[in-house]
Amino acid sequence: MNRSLRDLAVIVIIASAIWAGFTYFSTTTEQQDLVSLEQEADIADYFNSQIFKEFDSVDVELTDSVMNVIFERLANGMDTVSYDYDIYVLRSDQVNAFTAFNGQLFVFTGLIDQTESPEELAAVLAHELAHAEKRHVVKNLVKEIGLNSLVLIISGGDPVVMQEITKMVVSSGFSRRMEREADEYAIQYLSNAQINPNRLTQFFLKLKQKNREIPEGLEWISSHPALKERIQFVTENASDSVKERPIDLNWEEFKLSLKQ
Amino acid sequence: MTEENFNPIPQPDQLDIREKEDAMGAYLMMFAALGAGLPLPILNLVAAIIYYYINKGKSLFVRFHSLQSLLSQLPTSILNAIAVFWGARIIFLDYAFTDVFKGYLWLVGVANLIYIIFSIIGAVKARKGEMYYFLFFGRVSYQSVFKKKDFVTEKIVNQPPKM
Repeated sequence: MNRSLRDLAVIVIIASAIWAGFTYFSTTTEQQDLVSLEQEADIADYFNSQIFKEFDSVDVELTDSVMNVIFERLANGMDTVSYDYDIYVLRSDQVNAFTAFNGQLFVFTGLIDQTESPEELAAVLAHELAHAEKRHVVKNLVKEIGLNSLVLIISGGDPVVMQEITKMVVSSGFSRRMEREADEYAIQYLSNAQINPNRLTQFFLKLKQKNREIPEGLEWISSHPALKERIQFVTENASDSVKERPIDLNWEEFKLSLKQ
Repeated sequence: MTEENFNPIPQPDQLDIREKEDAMGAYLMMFAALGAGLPLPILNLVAAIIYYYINKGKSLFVRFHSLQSLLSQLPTSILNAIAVFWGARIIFLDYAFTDVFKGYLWLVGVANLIYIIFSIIGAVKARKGEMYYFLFFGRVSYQSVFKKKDFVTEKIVNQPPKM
């Protein structure tokens, strides 16, 4: 019996060693790393021209100072700042904001109109910044259209395909895991930047009222975690102990200026 | 553990061709079941158990090889089943495709390869009428099949009902 036990131990040890060895020496490259930052900057050029063709943008001079104040505050709370970020405001009634390539963030006036304070917009931007920092957009694109097609697009810039990609990025079709990760990092950024992370919940609740929710029990069908699930996640993970330092901006005045 | 506790091991010339083929079949049958059971690895386990019970009444040589084949595929079946469920969670529930899972897939691949190689060797040896012992499973199967059972039956004494 002792010999049997010894043999069994040998098998278990060999199996564990194979598992641990292959896990440790796993040489896979993360998909998003296959696209270099330079390549991403090239895609961003194509992409931005497409966006500005489709949407009317608000004069940068009007929004830049406000967006900078909010971004500077958030940047204080970020552990890494991988891009030279630009935040553009686009004219549209859509309550939406999205992350594009190479640190280009876009916010619709419809979303700003729904916010009651700069802190609330900061919460939304923190979420978008997290998508950018984690390179979710590139990761998603590689997953959706494949690396080969992406390289072809970078070299050729086929307008039809670019239009499709634009649609995909604007609709922010991230997986549940990516949304969860972005929420997780947004909470961290906000807390570090002395903004109450529950501002994100506040905004989600507004979205919930506005959007028709996915029927209960069918959340798994959606590629986005249903709002209810996200509200719960943020509420559970956001610390109440964050003492908020208000962002010094006249919010109502800014919102009014966008309508002119 | 002395030699007297075990039944004698059959030699190749003492075995008829039918026994050798049944013993070989125990290993080969697993391949058919493994193919059929790929989407749900528990299926080949069920097939292996059925095959073992069908051959249980046959000679010790056939029983030994059937049991060794059944036991040796238990770990691979369990590993495969875990891989399928883990993979399904990643595909359908969007869990992370981690390096730990990648390492696990390698382990599953290596385990299946080893299992297949040893099963082929086992089948060839069984067809030649040889006893072939796998690491661990060979010894366990031998002890289970060849160990003499003690048939100490108590003498039955009929009693009146308790009043």
